[in-house]
Amino acid sequence: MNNSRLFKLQAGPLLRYLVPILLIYSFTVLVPLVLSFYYSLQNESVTQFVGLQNYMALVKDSDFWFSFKNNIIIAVICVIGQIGIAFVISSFFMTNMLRMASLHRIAIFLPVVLAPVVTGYLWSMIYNYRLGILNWFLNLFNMEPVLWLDNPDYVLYTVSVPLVWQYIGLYFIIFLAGMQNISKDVLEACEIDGANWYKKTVFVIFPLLRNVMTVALTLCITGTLKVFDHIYVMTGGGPGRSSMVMAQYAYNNAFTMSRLGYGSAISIGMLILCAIIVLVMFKWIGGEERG
Amino acid sequence: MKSRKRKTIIMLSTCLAVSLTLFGCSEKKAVNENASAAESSTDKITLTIGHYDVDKNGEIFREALQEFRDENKNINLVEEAVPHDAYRVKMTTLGASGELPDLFVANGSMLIDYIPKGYVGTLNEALDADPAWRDGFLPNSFDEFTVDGNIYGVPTAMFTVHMIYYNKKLFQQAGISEFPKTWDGFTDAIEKLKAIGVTPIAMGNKSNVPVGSTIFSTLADRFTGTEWFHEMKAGKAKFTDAEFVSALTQLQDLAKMGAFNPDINSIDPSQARTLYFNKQAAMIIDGAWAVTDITRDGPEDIEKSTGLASLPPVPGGKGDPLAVAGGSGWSVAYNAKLTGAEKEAAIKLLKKVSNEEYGRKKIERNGQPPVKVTDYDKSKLAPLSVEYFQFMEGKKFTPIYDIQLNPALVEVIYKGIQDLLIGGIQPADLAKKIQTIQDSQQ
Repeated sequence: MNNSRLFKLQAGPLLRYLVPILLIYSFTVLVPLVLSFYYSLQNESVTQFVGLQNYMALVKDSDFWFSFKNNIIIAVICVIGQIGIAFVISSFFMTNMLRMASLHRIAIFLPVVLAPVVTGYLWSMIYNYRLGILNWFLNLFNMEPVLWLDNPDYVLYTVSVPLVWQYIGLYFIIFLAGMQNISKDVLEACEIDGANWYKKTVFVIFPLLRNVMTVALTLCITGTLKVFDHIYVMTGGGPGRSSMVMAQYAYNNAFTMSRLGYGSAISIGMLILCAIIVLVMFKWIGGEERG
Repeated sequence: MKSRKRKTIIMLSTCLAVSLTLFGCSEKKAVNENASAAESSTDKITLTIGHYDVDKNGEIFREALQEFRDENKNINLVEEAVPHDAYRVKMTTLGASGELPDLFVANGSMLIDYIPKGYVGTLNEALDADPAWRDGFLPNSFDEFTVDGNIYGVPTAMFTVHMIYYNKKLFQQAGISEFPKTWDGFTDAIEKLKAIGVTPIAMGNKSNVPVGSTIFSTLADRFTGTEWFHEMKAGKAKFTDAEFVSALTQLQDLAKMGAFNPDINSIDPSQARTLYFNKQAAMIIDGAWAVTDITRDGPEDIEKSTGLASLPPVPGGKGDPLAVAGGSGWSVAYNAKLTGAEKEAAIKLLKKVSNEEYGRKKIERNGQPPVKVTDYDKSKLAPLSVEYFQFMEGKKFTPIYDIQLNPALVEVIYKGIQDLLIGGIQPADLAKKIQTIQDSQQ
């Protein structure tokens, strides 16, 4: 066909156009990655090559696995909280009863644009023992004030709440876009067949959103596995290690304990664990599709 | 032709992108260097100095640097100043890559990190060449910056990090006539203060350093004695020793009896100080720098009713019952790569920020200089400052944990203390954990 050359990709120009972006990419992503792998093979003060010694220590480090466990708990909370709540809210948007939809949309999306550090400070004020709004509220009902960020039994859950709160809006927008792409014919057909809101959502919309859901799950899980800013601001991983996550642990090792080699090993370990989790997730979702 | 032009454009744009990124990383430095390049003649010496004295407390240091500039027109002094916490992180990173400034402010723990790498120059020669300068310092003020007899830094201050500031009026209200002199009296006082509805001791330990530094360093020394500390550093004594464990236990007992504010691990020291200013707390435990803060920021009646004390002796302790954790803490050091005229200029600057003249200015603004100051204008001092110098008369300094131990060990002990305060870990288990890290360091 004659017009096919219009769409033919030529290697030469393609590479040339890619050069700037590849350069930036390698400076900001590849070089640091290779560097931190290189550092991870060095001793604490990066003066001597020690081979895989840091990784051997990492595998045996109970604090690292403890923070990994915390990451998993936060990921589960966020998947249920962020994706679950976002899905429910966006399915409400598909009904005809909602008024002032754009106002709600903005209000729900607003937290997403806040910087994580700001969210962290905002919530540490909300959780504040003396001045926080939560304890003020409890006080109205003559209840004892709660040490939201000091109790190791539930500090992990309290630091997860701001994460859920902030990112509901993001998944809400993704789902809403996905739902609006579902053909009106299908929805009308099921309404004519007498499906109520619940049946329409569960049996029609949800299966049709499978691809969107995959994207949302990937974003959510990878995002929460590398969570840092919120927790750094609110507790710094404390009290003790009760709200420690992998990224915070790497930061502490590299920058407060001056163990750059080990800190780098932690971040490479983090990368490997995240990759495994995402691969397993893809396999699981993909396998279900075929079955 | 065309393709060459395109190539040039691509090259230029990548250069721009890269330089923008680099420029963003060290904007301030780049600007300063440009400025210096523009004005420098051939024989002008450029020195960079890294420090964190950017706030009100650092005014004296900045003034001294400015004076140095005015006096030495041939030296171009470039400041690389960031706030304290950011400075620590920045210096750890620079230390890892070996790109330290020509002169820098460093504490003992940082020097332990740099010295083996050969980044820090020694000062023995320069000190011996100028005996008047050398002998002007207070005894032991070089201890934290000396390794194997080599001196690596000039102290910037000498003070205690442990001082109990207590509100005399609240103490009277609770029926305590004077600050208790025994441990039982101290725990008694805590109960009485609780009974009148105030927090006995307000602390902000969110960053996990304050309690470890200002209480635990002193409390541990009361139990173990300073000798133990040196043996432990040499690997002869262990953290699992009974004395150290009982210090941890004693601290946990204090927390258990409700001596501290319940939100101790989620607020910072300035919030704790607010509790003290609002008379919601009867004591704060903080370093000597709080003298300046209380006189400057505190309400007048609080300033007047504040008394100074230190922890009472503990039963069965091996340490000096009156000693407090303290020392010089921070020093100014110079980069080992400086030679010749640059090195001379650096030494000159070190003298500028550590001579008696500088000490006098510091003391008259309620600071605690590391040098002997014979005559100064006492009327310029705040009453609390005068009381401080009286209190410190004849007191011995014991090691500050976060200054004398390496950073990894400090983190484990101090994070552990956070855990200890909320009952998340038992003293014996924590001691074992600390010892494991200590073993892995050798």
